[in-house]
Amino acid sequence: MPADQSSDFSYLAVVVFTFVGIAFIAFNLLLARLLSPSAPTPEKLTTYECGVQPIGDAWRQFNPRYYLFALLFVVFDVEAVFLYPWAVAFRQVGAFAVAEMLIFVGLLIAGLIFAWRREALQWE
Amino acid sequence: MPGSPTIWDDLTLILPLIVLWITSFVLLLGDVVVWKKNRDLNPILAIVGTLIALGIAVYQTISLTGDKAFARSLNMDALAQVSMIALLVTGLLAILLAWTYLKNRGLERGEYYPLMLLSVSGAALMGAANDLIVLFIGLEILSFALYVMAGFSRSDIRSEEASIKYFLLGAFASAFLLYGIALVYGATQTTQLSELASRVHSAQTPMLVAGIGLLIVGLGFKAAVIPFHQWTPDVYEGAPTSVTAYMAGAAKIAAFVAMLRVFDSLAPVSSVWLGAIQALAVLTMVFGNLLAIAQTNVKRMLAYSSIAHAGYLMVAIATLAHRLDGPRGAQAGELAMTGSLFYLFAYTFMTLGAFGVLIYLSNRGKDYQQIEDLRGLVRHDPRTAYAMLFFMLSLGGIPPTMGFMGKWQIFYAALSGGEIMLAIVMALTSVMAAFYYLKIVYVMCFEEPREAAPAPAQFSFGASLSVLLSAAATILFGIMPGLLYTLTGLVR
Repeated sequence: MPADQSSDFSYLAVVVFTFVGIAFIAFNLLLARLLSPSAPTPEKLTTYECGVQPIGDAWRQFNPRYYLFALLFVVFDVEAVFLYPWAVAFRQVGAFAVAEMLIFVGLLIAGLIFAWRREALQWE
Repeated sequence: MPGSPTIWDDLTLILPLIVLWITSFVLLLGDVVVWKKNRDLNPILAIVGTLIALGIAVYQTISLTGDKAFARSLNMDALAQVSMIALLVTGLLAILLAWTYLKNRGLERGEYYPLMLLSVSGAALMGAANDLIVLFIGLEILSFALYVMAGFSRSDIRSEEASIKYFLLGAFASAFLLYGIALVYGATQTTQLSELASRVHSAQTPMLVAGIGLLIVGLGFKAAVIPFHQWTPDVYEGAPTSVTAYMAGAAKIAAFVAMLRVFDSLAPVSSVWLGAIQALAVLTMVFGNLLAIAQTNVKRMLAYSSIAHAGYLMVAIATLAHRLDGPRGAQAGELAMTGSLFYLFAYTFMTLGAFGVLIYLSNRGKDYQQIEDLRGLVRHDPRTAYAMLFFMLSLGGIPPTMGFMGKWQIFYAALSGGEIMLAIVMALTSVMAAFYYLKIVYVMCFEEPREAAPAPAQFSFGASLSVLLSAAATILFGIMPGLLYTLTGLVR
């Protein structure tokens, strides 16, 4: 196998780390189970203790508007992620980087205009 | 190469794709901001954009440089250019079909054409990929647009079902493909196909074998090869007919050009994958044709027929394995390459033509899809019936049509490559196929129409032109295959 042999050792650390992580969390959960007093009330057993009372189970139709907003949010979330490395490297790359980022942001704005004109942002 | 290529050289090489991208964004925004009500402008502009892209692609094919672009991740060789031309022609015919279908079925929405142009660009990227990652990105661009388009008839529950089914299974297949790419990279330390060709021979580990296996699963799904075909009939039947027509042509071209590229690079280790490809080819040819016989829905029948055609193309892939076995094998490999491109052209013309006939007949009240619906068509509409007759004969591989020339080329390649078994299965299953194609001809021509003459389509220009062009190509390249061979022959 052409892979260099030292790479096997670096993966060992990942495996050890995984097991240590699992053991750490398991230990703490177990400790909490052993030490904490248990006095459940119906209120405490609900999914969101301090939210709206749940109605029925989760297997029902959701309003697709939530999905649209989430989608638009992710688009601009990702844009922000790309803007950070761009801002760091932009001095070295120069005008070309500006043009590229303008195209990238332009495409996203085109998407936003489309969503806006298609009334995806209306909440009736 | 003297001097390192600049970004402008790279961008020039993918100019047809850039034209498609710009057109789709103009359409997307134009439809919601500028011309809100003029729905005919969408297909017209889409046609203009595709024609410009086609012109550039043809020009680039004539002055072929064979350069690699974007840090060798794209290989703009003859295979890339010819497959791009095939895809743009498919796109053009499909836009014409959609123009009629969407208008007559009340499905006109501005997103259709941008989605389609983007998916053409994804398919073309797959055809030009010199890197497995680019191949994957192209596949995803193609597929995402197709998932949405399959569910384009939002009020129709079967269209919704087709979309979600295609999406879930497609996502699964993409995961297989990606895992395969990861394992091949693990074994060879490269994702570049041209590098892969020189490295695979010295990297024959179980990891490479597993990686190639997963690549076959992922690509086999897209190409609708048995046993990864389960989605095909449901999606073809449920999706709007114009989408089915486009999907049948473009997805098949993209998947098989990608397969040709991948297995061309993997030819040095052909002993690893040849058996699997042979088995899949036999399964696909036999069961694709067998299952098609039982269908009563034309769209479903054409779905199984598309599976059967994938089987014939798998024969070409198997022949490619002998590329490095001496001069005879090299010649067979070349024949398999050029033959399968010819076949893909033939397949796209005859399949889009056959779906085009259904689209031509459909209107708002009735969506033509059952074989029953075509009963006695020759009495009502002889010209349409004769067009359908030609497409069925061509799909069945009967001379003097293009389908025969394509099948003959693959058959000849398989024989000269020593794949005698596959050639025999191919010939036998082609006879089986004649049964269900000719059944449609029989129902159309020799049975009495059950109902009164169908109401003519309100708007038939796009579909008529598309069917006419497909029929002309099917006959012209059937009688004079040399015309197309000047194009497909570039791929050696």
